[in-house]
Amino acid sequence: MWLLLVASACSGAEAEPTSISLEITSTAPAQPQLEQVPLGSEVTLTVTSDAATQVHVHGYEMVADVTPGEPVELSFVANMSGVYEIETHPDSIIWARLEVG
Amino acid sequence: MIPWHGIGTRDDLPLPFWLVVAGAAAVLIITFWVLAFAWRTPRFVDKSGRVLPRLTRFVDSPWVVRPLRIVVGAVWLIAGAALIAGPDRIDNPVFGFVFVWLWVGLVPVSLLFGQVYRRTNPARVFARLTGLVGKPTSGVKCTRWPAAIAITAFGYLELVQPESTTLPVLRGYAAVWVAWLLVGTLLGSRRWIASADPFEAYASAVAHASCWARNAKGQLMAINPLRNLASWQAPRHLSLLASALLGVTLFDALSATTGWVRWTQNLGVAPQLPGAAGLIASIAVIYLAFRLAALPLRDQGQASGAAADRLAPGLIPLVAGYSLAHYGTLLYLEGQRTAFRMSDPLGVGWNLFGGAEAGPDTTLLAFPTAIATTQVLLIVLGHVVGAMVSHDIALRSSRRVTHQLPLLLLMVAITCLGMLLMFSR
Repeated sequence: MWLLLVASACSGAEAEPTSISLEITSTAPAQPQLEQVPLGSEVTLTVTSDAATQVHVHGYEMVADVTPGEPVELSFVANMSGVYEIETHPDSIIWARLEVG
Repeated sequence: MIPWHGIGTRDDLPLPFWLVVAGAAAVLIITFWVLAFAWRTPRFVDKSGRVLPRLTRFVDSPWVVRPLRIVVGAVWLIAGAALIAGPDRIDNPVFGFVFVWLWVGLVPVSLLFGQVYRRTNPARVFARLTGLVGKPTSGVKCTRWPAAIAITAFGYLELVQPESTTLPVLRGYAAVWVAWLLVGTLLGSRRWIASADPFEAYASAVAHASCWARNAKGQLMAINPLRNLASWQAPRHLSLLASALLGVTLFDALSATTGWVRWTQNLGVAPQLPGAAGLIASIAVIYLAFRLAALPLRDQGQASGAAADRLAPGLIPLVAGYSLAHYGTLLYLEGQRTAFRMSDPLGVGWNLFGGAEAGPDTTLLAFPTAIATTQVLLIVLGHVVGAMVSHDIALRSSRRVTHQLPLLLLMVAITCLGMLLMFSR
């Protein structure tokens, strides 16, 4: 077990930065876009929207208001493994799933 | 649109394929070994172990029982206050209390400490304080079908009910639960609580997989968990309760797969309909398959339902292993968040226990391979204990290996299905 812990800790430390862009449109996606992020990577999420909304990255609890025509940048270090939804409020539409690991 | 599943803000990564293959291989090999090469005469018939008189005196002394009941009762009161008067937001601690502390937490607590839920069940404390009914009836065999119905209802609340993390919905279900316990206890006896309280029935079944039991004189014993389960004089309809628990956990994983989500969206009906149908079908399929698999293991003249109930303790480790594997990280992360939120149950800016401003520890989440490996190990361990217990109980009716084969193959199928559902996206 300790070997596994050490092995996964090491692989996390060398992760490359990731940039993700997300476009919020007037129609909900048929399927949320899947984004794979290496553990430990510094993530830059750029969100554009054609209507005023609020975007929420679950788990990392990043929340930002987006206004039309003005891209918003969210940055965080993906140091928790798992699958996290990116959702808009208050319409509760899931736009993307971040797969960190 | 993704249906709500769990109060969690994250899901675990899908299990890596090689781990699922390794886990399935281990399950097959060990099951085959138990069937063909392990012991051939029942070994765990008697409930016996090392009697611990000093520990019994300590655990049963009012100086231990009373503070324990007061602390647990206080937590229930805080959660109740949050349910009645708290804010209708996800940071209200009552949601984490019900779906994480209670539903998930009772499994490790019962495995580690035995029948502690029964000792501190607020329904029992309430009945005792108010003198609601006469003496508690102990040692009487009773049934578990009311608890199986209540578990199914809880599964519906958790997995199907829209808006289940809003206060009006949770208040409605809590009111039905209180009425269910109160009316049954008033009409019958305190035995109804053991039969009908979904949380006590679940916890006390899992406690039979712990290393604690009591002998006929009521003294605590340290006991081999295999013996604890296999020597359990199982109550009637335990097979229905175990099927409900397995069905709810498997449906949780099934309803989160993209295949299920797409299929239900294309039906063009309210999502509660396929949800309820899927939940009940999961439970019914497991129950019927288990009844069939128990058929060759009937004693002379025994009803098939009675044979299934006698073998049902073998399913409890599957339930416990799968619950820990599937909800372990939820308990870790949301369990901490719930503890912090308990500091301000009414959402008015209190900081009762100094946790209101704290953030959860997330160290474990930096080790996804260790998490996945532990998940598969827990599922395999639950299966192995379950297979051994079933083998021992089955030997009491028939020494022929072929008579056990359907039962053990069914358990292999359930375990592998559980792992596959945690592998698929």
